[in-house]
Amino acid sequence: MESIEYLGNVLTLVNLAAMFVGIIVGLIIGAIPGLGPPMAIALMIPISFEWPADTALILMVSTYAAGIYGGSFTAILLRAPGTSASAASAIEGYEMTKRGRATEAIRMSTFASVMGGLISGFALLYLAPPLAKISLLFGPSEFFVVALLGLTAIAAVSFGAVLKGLIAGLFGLLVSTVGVDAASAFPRFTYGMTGLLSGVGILPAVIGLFAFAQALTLCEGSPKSNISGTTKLSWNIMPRWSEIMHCRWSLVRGWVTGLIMGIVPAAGASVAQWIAYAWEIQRGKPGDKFGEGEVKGLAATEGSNNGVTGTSLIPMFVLGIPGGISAAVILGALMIHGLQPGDRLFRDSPDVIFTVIWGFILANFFMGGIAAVMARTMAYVTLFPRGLLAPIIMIFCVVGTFAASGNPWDVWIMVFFGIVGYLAQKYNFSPAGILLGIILGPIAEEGLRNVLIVSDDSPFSFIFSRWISVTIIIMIAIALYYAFKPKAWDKAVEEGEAILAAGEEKKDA
Amino acid sequence: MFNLKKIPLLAGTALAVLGLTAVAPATVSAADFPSKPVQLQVPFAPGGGADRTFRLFAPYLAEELGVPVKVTNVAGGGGWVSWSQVVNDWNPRRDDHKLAVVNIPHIFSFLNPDMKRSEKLESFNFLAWHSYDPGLWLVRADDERFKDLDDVLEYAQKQAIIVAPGSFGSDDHIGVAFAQQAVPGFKAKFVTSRGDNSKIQLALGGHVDLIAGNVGFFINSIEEGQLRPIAVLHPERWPLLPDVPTFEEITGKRNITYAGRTIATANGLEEEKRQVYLDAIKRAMANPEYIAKEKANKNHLQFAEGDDMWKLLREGQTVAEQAAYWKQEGVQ
Repeated sequence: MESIEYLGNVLTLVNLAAMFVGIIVGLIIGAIPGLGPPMAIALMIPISFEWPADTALILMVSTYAAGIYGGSFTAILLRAPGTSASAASAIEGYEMTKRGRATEAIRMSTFASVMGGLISGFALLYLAPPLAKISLLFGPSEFFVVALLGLTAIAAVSFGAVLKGLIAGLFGLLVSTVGVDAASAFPRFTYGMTGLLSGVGILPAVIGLFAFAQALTLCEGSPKSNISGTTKLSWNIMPRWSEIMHCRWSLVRGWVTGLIMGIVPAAGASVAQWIAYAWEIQRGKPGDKFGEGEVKGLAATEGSNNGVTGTSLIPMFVLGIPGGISAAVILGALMIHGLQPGDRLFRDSPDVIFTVIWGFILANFFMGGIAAVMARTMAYVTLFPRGLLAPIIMIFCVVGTFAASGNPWDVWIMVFFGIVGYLAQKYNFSPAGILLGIILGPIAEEGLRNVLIVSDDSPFSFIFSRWISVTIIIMIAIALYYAFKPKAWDKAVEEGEAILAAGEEKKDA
Repeated sequence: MFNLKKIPLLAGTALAVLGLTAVAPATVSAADFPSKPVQLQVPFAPGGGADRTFRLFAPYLAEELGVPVKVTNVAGGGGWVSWSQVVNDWNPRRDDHKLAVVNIPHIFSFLNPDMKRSEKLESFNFLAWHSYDPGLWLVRADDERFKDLDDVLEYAQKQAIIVAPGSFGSDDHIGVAFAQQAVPGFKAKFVTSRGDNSKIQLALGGHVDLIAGNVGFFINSIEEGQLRPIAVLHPERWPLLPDVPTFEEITGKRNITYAGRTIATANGLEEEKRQVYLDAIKRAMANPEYIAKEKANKNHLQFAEGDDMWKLLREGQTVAEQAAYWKQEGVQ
């Protein structure tokens, strides 16, 4: 491809410096609950105002890639995900940390994220126009069924307690209806309180359900004990070949999910990770310990959330339709620099756009090295005593939530979900199920209501007349079949118990 | 006629005047105001049109005020989370370093009795009008069914036309709601979406027939050859789109809607401080560099203060009252 010639443009001192600043800022800001890539990128707009467009945009795409990955540090090490895109990694990742396998988790997360980002970056470079066309096929009916597909992940994340998982999911869906309804401008369940008009944001919910709840959980144990259960951490930051081979199909499934979900408008990383995770659990084999620190689960979630990053920029660059808030802010920066998205961007300013895409690819590459060392250093927090860690997490939760929205109400909402998340975890009502309801509720509702309007109240014939919708419905059916099919190892355990029981009976006789 | 000898004198006077104006802000705001960074509160999420404009504006305003200007986003409730703060919580002493963006005619959703809001136009301490973007109807560029507005109206009289107006009660929705009342038999169904970006998605993918939006945002899609403009919802043709007729030209009905952005401050703010802000906004908006940037972004700046601004605000209220979308039946 002729685009390779633009690789050289990235290698100027200025562009590389912008890239490294972006990576480091992204990693730090991503790791702090509440502060995420959209905010960091928005703050960069005035700073990079006078810079050349390619340098400014390299800074931003590097921050974006590193921010999505940085959120996983705290998710894995503390069960306090820094962004909503890494909440799923908190489950297996933290279970690994608790078992003294923090560095192994970080290794796998880094490998999955870096490779996911690279693959996604090359998809952005070579497949942008055809993938952009596919993203246009998503309309109200597809949004609705994609949200349903995401909701089937509740079955996977309830780890056997399906009824409790469904209650959690329904609670999340109910919460997602709070606030001003977009279709009628009518406030719902706000009880006259201004703070509830905007509804429950995904960010306060994630921070509360995972990070704040985790701080509360930490308060239970002895204040002097640490969370990792060990006193030493390995320094090996490169994944072993055997580890990669063990997770190879999980990684591939994660990357594929990420690449596809990236081009689905409005879905993005916060949905992709759950679909990847659920897929992984459905493909579980005897011996896999999902929910108890299964590295394959982590490989899938980490591969998927960074797999999203590159492809989610495709609709933005090619069509001017950003897939998420980060992409929307980057689009804003693009326009401030006098560039308009679309075919013209590729035709009239190939030097800028291809330099930026190569910058994105290189940022993912360098991110691996910087991140691995940084994460290894950060892993020391798992050796901190709980008595110190819990209050630190709480402070970051409060500050981060307030900084993200500037709305004191969001802090109270976050604390409320912290208590809900703590109780849910304790009594086995999947907090992840609640989060899935909150994330997917608005997408499903808007999709369904628009389908009802467009189809004159005959939604079924409308949905089934569209091939993407039908394909996704088939995927839902498969997901549900696997979710409720008795697992091979469950059968083995049952048989084993039966044999044991029979033996006991014989003894009694 | 022109006395050459007078040139040095003229130049001297000019210099003196310039010097005075340069010193003026320092003497008028001798109270060292503003003394710390000023917060500019945008009522929508980062990345939207309002956010984009004011992040572009902030450095120029900062230059005039002499302190940094931070853009903050307090999103939600169609703007009302931010606006209730401004009206009900902002204290002129404590919150004197805060400015807020107020969007017209979004603000007029307080007219909707269902919203149960007690605010009025006078509840806000408006400083200045900042920008203006007229309403525009568009279709997919290769949509053979609609050559012009007549085709659209004819179609909508036979069967309900599917429109993407963003959210309910937005300026885009107001334009369609007015058409539903002014054009006999005009039927529309609304597919709501999150912002202008998703409207492009819905139209290009053939999920809706018509987009109701604004010139500034959609002009890029027109130049890209993705979308085709059908009618401008403005009293005259808009200079950026001289070939596109107004709604009034075709139907004889004056259908006007637009996205207007104003800047407000805390109620009861001291007059001197208010004047410092107003002067800074005025000068920043006259900065040729800023004007050039906004022009490149196709954003139409329109400064107005005092009575001129209030006239515009009251006109906005009339537009919202005429459309009275909340009175329509059969709306979900």
